[in-house]
Amino acid sequence: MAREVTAQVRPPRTLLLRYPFGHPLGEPGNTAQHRRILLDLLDLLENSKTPGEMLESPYRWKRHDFSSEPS
Amino acid sequence: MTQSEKSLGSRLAFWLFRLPVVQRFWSRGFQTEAGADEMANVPWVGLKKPLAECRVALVTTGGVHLVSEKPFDMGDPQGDASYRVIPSDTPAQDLMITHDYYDHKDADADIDVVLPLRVLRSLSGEDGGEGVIGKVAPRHYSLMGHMEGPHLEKLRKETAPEVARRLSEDGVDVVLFTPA
Repeated sequence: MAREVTAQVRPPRTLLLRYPFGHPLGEPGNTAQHRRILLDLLDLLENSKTPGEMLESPYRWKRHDFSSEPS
Repeated sequence: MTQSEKSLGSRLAFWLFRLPVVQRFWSRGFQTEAGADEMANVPWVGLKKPLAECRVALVTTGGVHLVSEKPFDMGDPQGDASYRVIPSDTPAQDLMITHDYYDHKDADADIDVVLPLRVLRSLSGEDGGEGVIGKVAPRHYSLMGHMEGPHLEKLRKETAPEVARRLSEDGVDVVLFTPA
């Protein structure tokens, strides 16, 4: 659903996360996850050259281990 | 409708919306086939300077506001097109969410789930941050993402241009938008 709704808004660039609605940064208290997602978003901002690009994030809800990330 | 009835209705809507089948039903009206036409003419500009020199602001539709401020209007079924300003140095305990149209239990427990101010500060080049970005903007903005009818018109013609103008006045280079 997120891709279709996002397409209607036509944002310049988007990081799509397959997370439950209301969790754009992920799980509560998981600072390493929030940091990783913000860094991925900033990376997209720096490197995307395609207007309207929607990049799908690989992190699965509560399945991806962010413990190796600094928090 | 009395306050207690309204409160009961809000609570019921909140619990119902937690059911996946209800979420899917609610979302159905928004679904379309996204084609190339819709992505044409997307407003786009590239970064004008290195990220480490950019001032970054957050905008969310998660219904976040200062505890001391007037909440978003949950009494109007067509929503609320107003916005709230969130100063950059606001501690998490001074923020709350008023938004009956999504499950914000997790965001209530950790506001960074919808408004990642704490992490953004840690990435800034100030106050011992990592220096990935230059500065955190002095102000961030929050809306309540449920709007219909006349409120959508107000969003397009008043609220959104005003927020954009204020971001520009603050010298913001980058806006990260978190929908909820």
